[in-house]
Amino acid sequence: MPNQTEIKFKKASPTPPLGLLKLMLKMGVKLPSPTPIPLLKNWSESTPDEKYEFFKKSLLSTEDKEFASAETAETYQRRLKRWYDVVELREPDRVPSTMLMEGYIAKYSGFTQADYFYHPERIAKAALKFHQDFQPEHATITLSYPGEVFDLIGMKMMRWPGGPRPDALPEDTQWQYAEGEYMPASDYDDLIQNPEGYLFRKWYPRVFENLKGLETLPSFFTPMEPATVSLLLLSYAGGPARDAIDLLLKVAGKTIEAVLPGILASKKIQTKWGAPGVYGGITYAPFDILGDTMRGTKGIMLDIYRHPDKLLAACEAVVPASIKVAVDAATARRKPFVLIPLHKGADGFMSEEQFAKFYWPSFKKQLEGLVEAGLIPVPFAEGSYNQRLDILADWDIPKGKVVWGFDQTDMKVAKEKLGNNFCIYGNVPASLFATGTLDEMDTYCKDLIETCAPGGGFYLAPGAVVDFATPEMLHTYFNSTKKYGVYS
Amino acid sequence: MSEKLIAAIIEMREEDALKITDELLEGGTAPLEILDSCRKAMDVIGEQFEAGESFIPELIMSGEILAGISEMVKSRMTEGVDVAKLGKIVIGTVEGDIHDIAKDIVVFMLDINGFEVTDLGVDVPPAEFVQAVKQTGAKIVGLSGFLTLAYDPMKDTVAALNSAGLDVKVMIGGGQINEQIREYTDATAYGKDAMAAVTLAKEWTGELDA
Repeated sequence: MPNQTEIKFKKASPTPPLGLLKLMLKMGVKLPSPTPIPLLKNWSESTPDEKYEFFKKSLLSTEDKEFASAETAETYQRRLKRWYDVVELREPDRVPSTMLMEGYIAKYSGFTQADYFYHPERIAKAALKFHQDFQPEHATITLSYPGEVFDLIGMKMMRWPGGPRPDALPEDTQWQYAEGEYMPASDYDDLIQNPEGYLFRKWYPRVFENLKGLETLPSFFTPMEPATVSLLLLSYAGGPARDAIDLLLKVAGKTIEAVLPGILASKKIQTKWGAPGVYGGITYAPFDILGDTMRGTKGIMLDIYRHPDKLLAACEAVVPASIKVAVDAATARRKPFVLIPLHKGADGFMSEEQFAKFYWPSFKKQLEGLVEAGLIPVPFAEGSYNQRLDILADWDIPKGKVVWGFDQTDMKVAKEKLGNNFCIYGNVPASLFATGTLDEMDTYCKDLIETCAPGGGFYLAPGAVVDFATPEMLHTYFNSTKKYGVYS
Repeated sequence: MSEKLIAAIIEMREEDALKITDELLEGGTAPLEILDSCRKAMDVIGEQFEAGESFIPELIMSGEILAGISEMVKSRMTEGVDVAKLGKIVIGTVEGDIHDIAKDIVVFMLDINGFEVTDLGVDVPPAEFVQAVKQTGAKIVGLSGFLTLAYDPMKDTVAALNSAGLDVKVMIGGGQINEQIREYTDATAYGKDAMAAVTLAKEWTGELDA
């Protein structure tokens, strides 16, 4: 890289040792959080385009971020410019590549899946090693989870490795959903009337067993006179609600302790190697929110026939909150990309008509809401989406505002149908990473790049979370964009 | 057979189907005849599924309707239903994977198509598959797995069945399973969905020409 007219950045300061941070946490000291770039003054009146440009500028800016050197700062910025080129449907200098993994990071360093939940510092160490060894252009997930807190709150809707629970998965098995009907069909009206209130008072107590006290939280709507204010305060002062709130306070420090190493690692990955993380938030399509951990797969599929109107009303009802959760997170982090893993609308799960009726309208509204907030939704369609492409193509949304990820979808057709309006990515099979030869990987990536890269609007990515692959396989994958993805 | 009942099931009219069943039973229709209508309806739904006209909601919904009908019919049954089964199949989600929805649908479709299915549930170690095959004498084993973590347990299970000297055909299926994984695991075949499982099972038991 030629020396540009000096790039502005903050020289990286040494991070305080983790032990010291933990001690501060134990003593109740609140950790200083970095001061983000202030939002535009008239944020609430700003247009979607103004917000979009603000986020883009914030993400690309090196001035407010720490880097090891001017060269790292330049690398960071170059990668993000390349990224924005494909997102905004221009040809960059080279096809960008990303990686999607969770459990692999631990495995690569000889740690177990249980370490994600019970030894966060191991995962942070492993994440640094992975990024050092592979030098991916974009940072991959470095998060670890507060397993002890999950134990303390009695989380039911997932099973994870390690820990004292009788249903703990084996040490080296990745976490999985424990499918269930955590919301009975008879609760639809409650949910539709007040989605957040319902979640907090009814659903939380079901999926977080030890927060049962939340059931007794009163409505927030009464405090208008001294008497009603006292009554409201009284309902928090004793009894089950207070037990639940006490527990939440008790686990707060442990939660920070568990996620802190991962946050520090991802900061270091950006500082030291200039690998950006672009995701500010995550949300789920309304139908999946209901289907994954509330009604369950079986429940929601039956609702299509037994309670179609309520299902539709519920999908609509959760749209605002499903937007807000992502907008809040992305705005706080000044990172506009919002990941949306898609589950139950895939080919085979339902007919095209059912998709058009039950899945798409509320999901579309959610996507439009995110775009309206200046963010860039990045839905990732697990399974295959061949029968959905026409519906996605027939959507009046400004070009380059949504990025579509695919797993087993036909990428040639996806490029033809969506390529004019959306950047697309994905499709390198998890099975190929796990069991293919290096040649097969090389050829697959070459073909994929040749099919999707012309004109820009494409980046290389796996079709599913990569948990099994040899290091050589990953190198072959990463190298393919350098071999085949350079634009002339 | 009752065309009305068959139509109600195919069109997913649950209440109608149960009402018609009740009327048929009151009118003296033999329980076995009602079950025959159910089977006929499921044949149609299976064909629609294969043709890409029916999907998961229809398979799950028809399963529920059938469960409702058999509940009503059971109380009237004087003799046990001794339907000649096409063949025995042992099925389960492999070790480490706890997903059951897709596996349950496959079990239901195999069962309704006349196979005697032993469902071992989820997170099933290779040794349990071996033991179940020995106990039942099944000639077909179905391995389900949603995640990539199922690759190695599937391979291990096929190996365990082979090294136990069991003469079985093994089908695999699930979210991240494909032909490449069939090769990797050395299973006999990969099936993309529940009807593919039925077709494979029929081929292997000589019910269909391969």
